[in-house]
Amino acid sequence: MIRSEYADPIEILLVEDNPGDVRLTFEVLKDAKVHNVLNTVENGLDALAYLRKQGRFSRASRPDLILLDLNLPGMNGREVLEEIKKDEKLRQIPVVILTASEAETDILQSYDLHANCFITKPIDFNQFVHVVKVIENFWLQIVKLPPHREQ
Amino acid sequence: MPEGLKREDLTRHLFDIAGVIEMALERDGRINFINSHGARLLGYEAEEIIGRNWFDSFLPEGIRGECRDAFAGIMAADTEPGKPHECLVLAADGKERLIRWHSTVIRNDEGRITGLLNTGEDITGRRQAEESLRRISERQDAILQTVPDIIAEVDADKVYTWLNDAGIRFFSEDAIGREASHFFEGEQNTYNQVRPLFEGQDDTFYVESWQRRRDGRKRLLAWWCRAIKDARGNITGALSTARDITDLKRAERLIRDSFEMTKAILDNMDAIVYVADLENHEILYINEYTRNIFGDVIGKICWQALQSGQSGPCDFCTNDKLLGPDGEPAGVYNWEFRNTISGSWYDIRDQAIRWIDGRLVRLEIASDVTRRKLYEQKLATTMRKLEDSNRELEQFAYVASHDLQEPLRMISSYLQLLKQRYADKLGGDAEEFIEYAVDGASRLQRMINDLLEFSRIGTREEKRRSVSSEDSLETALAKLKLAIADSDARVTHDDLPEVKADAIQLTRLFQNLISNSIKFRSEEPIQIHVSAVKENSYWRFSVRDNGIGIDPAFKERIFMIFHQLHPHHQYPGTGIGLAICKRIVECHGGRIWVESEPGEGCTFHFTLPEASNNED
Repeated sequence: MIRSEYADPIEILLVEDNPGDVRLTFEVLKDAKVHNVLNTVENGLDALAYLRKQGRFSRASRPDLILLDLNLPGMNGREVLEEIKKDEKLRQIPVVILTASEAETDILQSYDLHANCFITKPIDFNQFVHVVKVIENFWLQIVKLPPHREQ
Repeated sequence: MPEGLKREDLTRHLFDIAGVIEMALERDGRINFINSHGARLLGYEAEEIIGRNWFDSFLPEGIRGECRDAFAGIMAADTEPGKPHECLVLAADGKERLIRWHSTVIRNDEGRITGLLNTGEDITGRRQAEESLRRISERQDAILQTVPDIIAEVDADKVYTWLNDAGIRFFSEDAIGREASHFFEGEQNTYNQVRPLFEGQDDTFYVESWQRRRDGRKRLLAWWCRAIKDARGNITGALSTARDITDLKRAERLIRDSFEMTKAILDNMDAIVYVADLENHEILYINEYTRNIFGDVIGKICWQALQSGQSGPCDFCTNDKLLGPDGEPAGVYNWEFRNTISGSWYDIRDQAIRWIDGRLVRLEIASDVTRRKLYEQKLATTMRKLEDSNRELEQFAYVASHDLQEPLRMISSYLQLLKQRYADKLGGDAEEFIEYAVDGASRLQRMINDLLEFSRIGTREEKRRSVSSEDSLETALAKLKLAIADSDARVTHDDLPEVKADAIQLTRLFQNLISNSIKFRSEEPIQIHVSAVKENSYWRFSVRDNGIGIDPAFKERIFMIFHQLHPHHQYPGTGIGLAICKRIVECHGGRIWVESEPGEGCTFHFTLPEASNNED
């Protein structure tokens, strides 16, 4: 099934501390075929608070997809991933690791912690645009995401 | 003759006093007369005997017939009584006595034989004494002839007068009649030593003397000598026993020499050597080295003398480890310990051995390894520092790659975004400037990645095992498939060996060297050949090409990180390829170098350890 652009918007949570990357991702997704809402948090603790609707995120909606950077200030991406996948209510949400790292250990560790996929941010801008588009195409259009259990 | 004494009676009394039996027999063997000595000897009074048959009453049953026959013969005048003869008689108490008889026949006036007159002498006691003397003498003879020792008798002139069998076996029969000195070997003081003996001293003298055996061999005899005196106390000679102690002396010397040698070895050992009782911990032996540290502690208790602060046997005592379940020595127990008195570290070898008296004791040999221990500790510290430093370096490289890449990505991404959206609004030069900026950023990116790869080499020693270098080369060639096809390069190789290496790094090594050869090609069609030669426990690999070659002046420099001989725009790259090769080879314990002349291609050589036999 291909989503129509008139359906409910897809909720994406981007966990990324670099405003440059946030902006780049936003720039690319802005033009996406699928209607989407991109929410951003800058660190791991906020990411978990957002997902658990705690504190100032009490009114946040449950995302359909999480884009997670590994290098975050304070609680890093691995720990966030581990928390999400330990949490029965959160573990169904697909997590895409989007990071500058190409290190084998990072890749292995992420999959060990049940990341749904691991993508290295390409250095080249055009490549980056391409990758984000592929993410959009695959995760927002092709993949059948789990239904929202809580609703 | 005194009055009243008849001649007849006189004779009888004389016989009685002389202890001689006098007895007369009738022709029929009846006793006609016996004197009182004879009757007493048989245990009767003479009146009880007279008239009784001699043969039936007073001879042991076994000889009765024989004696009667002999008697009959005499009576018949067939035989003369002849010489004195010995015959047993049976006394009243049942005991037999041996009598020596003289017999003579009695005739009447007509010359007819009427009886036999016998005089007898009781020789029972004498015969017994003779018998026991004979036995003693036989025994003595047997002893003298069978003892292994030489027994010899000399006269006052020291001439051999008698030798036992052992003596004859040693000196030969000819020795008797010869002076003792005839058999002396070499100069000796023997006569002086035994002089007091011949001057009347009663002691037994001991002398050792070299003498010539009958086979001509020189043997050492130990002599024990004693003077012999006659009834008046004059010295008539000497009786000696002698034993061949040549072999004994030799064995003694051997034991003494080997003991001296063992002692010398133990005393010269640069280690504590001691023996202590397994049960009561008493020290039985120490070598000089131990004496120098602990003093003369023989006889003391080891945990008191060799350690400090022990109120009983040391809790680290190894005695319980020295015997097996069968109670027999269990072999060497090796351990390390820091002595509580000297403070030195020792490499200790403990072992149960059998002591001279047969009991099991503990033998300890402890070498001072304090210096080695200090080195080890220093080495461990250095290693730890090195590991820390390596870990920090890795951490640094990792962090650098991440943290440097993020801003770099920002630079290049936004430059490109800028270019895409605004190039036409920025004027003619903008695009070129942006290009340079983007190129610079991506070069920096590559350098960071190369640096990261470079820093990771050598951190994976555990991944080294036997690998086929030929497989690694094939993998490298597969990765370079495009480059090889594009450049039409011809890559050949000999049979390549197994080496001990990290397969991924070995592939990387070949890949870098071959792509280097392709990159620095000449006008000629590219030809690359890989070969390997065994050199001791290493294989020397050679990668030969026909490229532009390298000026020998730069032979060393090309292996330096980020070092380039040519302008970047002419030969693109970061200049890390050969630095990575060098690091890979050196981390494997090998060496890499290049042989080349400009325009004549170059050959890269590197060595790698051979595959070990005991594979994990």
